[in-house]
Amino acid sequence: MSASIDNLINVNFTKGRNDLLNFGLKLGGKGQHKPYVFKPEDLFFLGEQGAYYSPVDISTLFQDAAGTVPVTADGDPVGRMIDLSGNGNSAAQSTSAARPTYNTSPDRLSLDKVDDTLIITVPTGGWNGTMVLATDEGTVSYGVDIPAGEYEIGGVYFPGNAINGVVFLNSAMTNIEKSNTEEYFIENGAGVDYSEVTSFNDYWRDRSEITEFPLIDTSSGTSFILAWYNCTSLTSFPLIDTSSGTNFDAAWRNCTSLTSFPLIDTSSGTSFDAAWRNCNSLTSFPLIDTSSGTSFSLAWRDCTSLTSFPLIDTSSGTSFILAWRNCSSLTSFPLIDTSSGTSFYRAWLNCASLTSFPANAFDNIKGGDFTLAFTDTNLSQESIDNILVSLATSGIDSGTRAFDQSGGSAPSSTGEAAIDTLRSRGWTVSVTGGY
Amino acid sequence: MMTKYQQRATIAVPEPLIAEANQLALALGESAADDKTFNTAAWQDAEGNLYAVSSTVAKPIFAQIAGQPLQAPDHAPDMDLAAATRSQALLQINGGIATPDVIAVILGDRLESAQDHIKALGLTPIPQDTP
Repeated sequence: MSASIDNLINVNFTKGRNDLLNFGLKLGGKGQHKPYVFKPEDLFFLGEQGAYYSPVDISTLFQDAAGTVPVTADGDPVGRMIDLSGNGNSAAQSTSAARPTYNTSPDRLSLDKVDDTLIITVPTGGWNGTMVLATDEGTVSYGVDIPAGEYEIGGVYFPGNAINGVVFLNSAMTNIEKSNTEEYFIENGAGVDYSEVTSFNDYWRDRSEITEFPLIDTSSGTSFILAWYNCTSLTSFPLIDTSSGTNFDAAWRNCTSLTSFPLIDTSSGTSFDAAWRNCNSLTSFPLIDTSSGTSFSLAWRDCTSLTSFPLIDTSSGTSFILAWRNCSSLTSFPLIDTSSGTSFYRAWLNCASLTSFPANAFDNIKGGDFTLAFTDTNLSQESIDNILVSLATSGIDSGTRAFDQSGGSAPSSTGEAAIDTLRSRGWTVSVTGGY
Repeated sequence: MMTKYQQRATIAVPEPLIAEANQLALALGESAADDKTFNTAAWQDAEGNLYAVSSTVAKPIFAQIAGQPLQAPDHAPDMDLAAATRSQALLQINGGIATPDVIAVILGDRLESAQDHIKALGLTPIPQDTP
């Protein structure tokens, strides 16, 4: 056999980007030839569209947006970062005060998370593929769909405090391409996997371009407030480790394309306010562990496609304000534990399909604020009777005592008797039929 | 080589003063786009007054220049010098928390964090809308 390795490489060069990279890796360490060393610019070898930025190469950094004053020292502002992909998509910032700062050891662009950001003008057609984002806290690959026009790297909401490198490729990277790119950035000082981050507040907020979210290490995370808020293009979510998470307020709010949600570990979670608010493509919800949850205000508000709701453990829940408001596809509701509940203000308001509600649901509640709780529902007579009788059973005779129902059926004489009892205890009650 | 940007300046502009403060930014800055320095009033003080905040590394001469008579720079010869001068008169450097009648500035070492400066200004992000 006389074929040389060089010949083999030439053959594979013509076949495509993936073959080049895979073959190159196989060559590593073999024979007397220099091992192939991956560089992110190799991803663009065949003229792929996208961009690649790396502050490791200081010659690509300029203090001004025009690219006339080079960055020369740790602490200089960065107004322009040259695209290393060969596509000429440099990132720039015209406003002086909004420029990130170049820092060394490792080379990175530090963000003040007030206004620092670099802007890329994404060319016509946009980029639909993979983004590898390396920050000081973690380096991961995302599926992205970025429309043509201005796109910001940095900003107030960012998964880290510095940009250590970014690649946008206008096609889906293979797993080996992703891992090679991630490793390249990590070897140059980027954070590895977010495993040491405790607060993920606002990290991926407003990232509507993310179509695929990776299985990152969130095992140290205690706070996830607004972490994925407005990630409107995510259709699924990975089974990340949230076992240490205590606060999930608005974590997935407005993830309007999520059609399913995994059975994550929320056993330490105490606050779920607006956690899944307006996830209006979810048709079902998993039986997550909410046994430590105390506040569920707005948690599932506007989840308009939910057709069923699981029997989650709400035994510690005190606030259910607007929790299921406008879950307009729910037809029935499970017998959740409301024994710690103090406020149900507007909890099921606008659940216009809600017909069936169980008996004994409120027998042991601690507070009587049901203002507008069942307004614009479709409760059957048995269900409204169930609710009224249960409220009477609770014995609440102090504090806020208000109940509203409209739509659906009027109560029977059983329900009316319960209303009489409630009114004798100071409740204000309004029901369908006007009794 | 040592950077010339040895300081960090974090500036809180009361919402009604944003337009004029941007003229000051134009006069003190280095780019024709510096009239976009202060944008959304996304921060508030304890009384609920709203502010736009910007933070940037700055050269040590910043405080001195900020106190001198302003001139329209080459990058913005047609700027509103009167508006910039009115804003300049409201500058309060390292004078404590932000208030609606001043443009409060925290000027410190470049390694100080913008977030710490914002705390020193007594500002917090405006909370999310709820019900």
